[in-house]
Amino acid sequence: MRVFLKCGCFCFAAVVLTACQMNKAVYERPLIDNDIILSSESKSSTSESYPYSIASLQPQQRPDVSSLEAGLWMSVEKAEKKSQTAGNRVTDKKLNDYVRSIVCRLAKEYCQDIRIYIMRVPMFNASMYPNGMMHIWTGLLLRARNEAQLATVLGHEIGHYLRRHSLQRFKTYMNTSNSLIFAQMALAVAGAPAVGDIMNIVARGSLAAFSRDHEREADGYGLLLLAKGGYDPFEASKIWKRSIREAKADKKYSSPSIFNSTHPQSEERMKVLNDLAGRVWTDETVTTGLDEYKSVILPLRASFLRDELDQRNFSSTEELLEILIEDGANLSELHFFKGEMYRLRRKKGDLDKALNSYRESLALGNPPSVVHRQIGLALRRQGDAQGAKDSLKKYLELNPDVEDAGVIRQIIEESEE
Amino acid sequence: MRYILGALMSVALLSGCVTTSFYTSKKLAPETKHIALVSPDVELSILNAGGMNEPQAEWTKLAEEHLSNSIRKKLKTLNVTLVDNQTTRELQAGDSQEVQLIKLHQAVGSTILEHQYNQPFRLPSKKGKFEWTLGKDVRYLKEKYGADYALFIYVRDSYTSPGRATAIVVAALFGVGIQGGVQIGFASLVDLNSGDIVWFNRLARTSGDLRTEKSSRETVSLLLNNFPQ
Repeated sequence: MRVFLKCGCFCFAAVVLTACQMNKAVYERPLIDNDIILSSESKSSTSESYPYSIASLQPQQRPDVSSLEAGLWMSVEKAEKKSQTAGNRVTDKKLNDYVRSIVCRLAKEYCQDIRIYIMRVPMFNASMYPNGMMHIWTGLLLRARNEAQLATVLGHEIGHYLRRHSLQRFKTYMNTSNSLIFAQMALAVAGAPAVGDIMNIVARGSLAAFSRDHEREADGYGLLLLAKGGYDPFEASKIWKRSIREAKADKKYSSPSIFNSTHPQSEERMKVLNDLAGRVWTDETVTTGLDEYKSVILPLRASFLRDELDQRNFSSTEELLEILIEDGANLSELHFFKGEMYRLRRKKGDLDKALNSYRESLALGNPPSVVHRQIGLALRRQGDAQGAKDSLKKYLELNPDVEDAGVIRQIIEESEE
Repeated sequence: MRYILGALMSVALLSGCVTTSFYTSKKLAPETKHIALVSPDVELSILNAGGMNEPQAEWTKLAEEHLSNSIRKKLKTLNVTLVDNQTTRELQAGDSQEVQLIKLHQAVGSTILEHQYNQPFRLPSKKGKFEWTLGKDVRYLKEKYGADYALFIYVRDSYTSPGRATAIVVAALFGVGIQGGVQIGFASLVDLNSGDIVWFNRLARTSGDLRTEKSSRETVSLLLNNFPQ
């Protein structure tokens, strides 16, 4: 039995090893097909030889009306109409123009086929729909450090579009479910319905694996478009490094099982992208686009941070703020929000921490206008009536016409009675 | 809308009748019979063996036209004036207020399906009454189109694929029932003064075809069954 077990472990390790090699090849394929890197083996496939290759997708191409693809587009177009007027769509023109310009820099002749919708959702994500609708969440804009990191994700999404992953996935799901129903019926008749259940589970697992391979391939495209767009390819793995740090700090987060997960693990993506960046690297000048990114994102960042706090997931927000503070852009604002995070978290000692952060924000010279009010209210909770009064008065002095002036005045008056 | 579909599927096919209506009034005011038809929300699909719906763009395009034409014809026989075809049929791009009202109707419509048609989920606050409204903001549509009512149509029509048909036959041999294609939907009439939904009719059956204009008339006569006069 022991021998058997050992053998089992070894086999398992061998399977995992081969799987890793195969996975890497999926990331590499777009780069090899476009002659950006050389394959260690002979070129396995040309871009023309596999189905749904980019070579068979013309810019501004629309699917034939009788095709399944047209059906998918039709369904998604209904959703797009809703997205156009969605309440949480960010319509800031400067931001939309900026993200659009990055998409065009990456997608080049396919730029017109992709329509961006920046949505106010405080999570690290973007998504691509089969008809070219791309959703970009504000949580991504908050987390990317520079233009190249945002371009990494945008390029990944463009890769999904170019290779028509949604269509491929839909077809696979349909074929799998079609064959499954007959197999299950046959097995049920044969008196082994449990085998049918197992097949169901296996099918679900293989569909998830199929989806993971699409993510890997899209990552490869992300890197390809990044390199072709003149961005620093090493930024691709850096955004994953940030994401992993945040996920590790997150007490509510548990990574999904490898079997069911639709995305590869972040660690794998970070490592492979870093290796490939080394192979993609040339002597040509590349940019991270840090200054451009900051000039557009920083004026909006406070609203993104407010939404982030509204999730009340303090352990990951604390780490995110730490990462952003290390980046060093507008520290005064970041320390203010760190204070806000402590104020809302209300663990033992958090009130002191909040006050320290507010004061740090003040000392750094460019705090949000409400910082004096927050200091005043925190001091009031600590029982420092005089300190509270001074800060609240300062708040009204600096912001005489604010909406809550009446309430604050009343608080000051009560403390004087 | 997936939510609507779920609500329709779950209850409708279990109950016996093809259509069921609710009213606040069985009569429209005689002097106010101008109705704006909001572009029908239709989708035709093939139901595959494994139960997945494959949306059909070409059929849907045809069905939209047939449905629109048949509704117009039917309403004429009901002595109702439809306001101008072209302006009401397609949403004005960028007219956010109109789109928001249509979205609101989708939300209210799916709530009606869930809580009015589903006896166990009836809301205690409604006390069994049919009492739903979009609010007075709908007057925007009244002014825009010069109409007194707006008619909303939602239909999902699926067709059994050969594979599904085989599955049904095979399963039936062993005494198991598998669902084939279905035609489900609703029509809803909104008073553009008050925003109240004055009439709501649900359609659910396992037959019907919207791919030809002739057979679409039969669907429309069921959709507009019990339409207030």
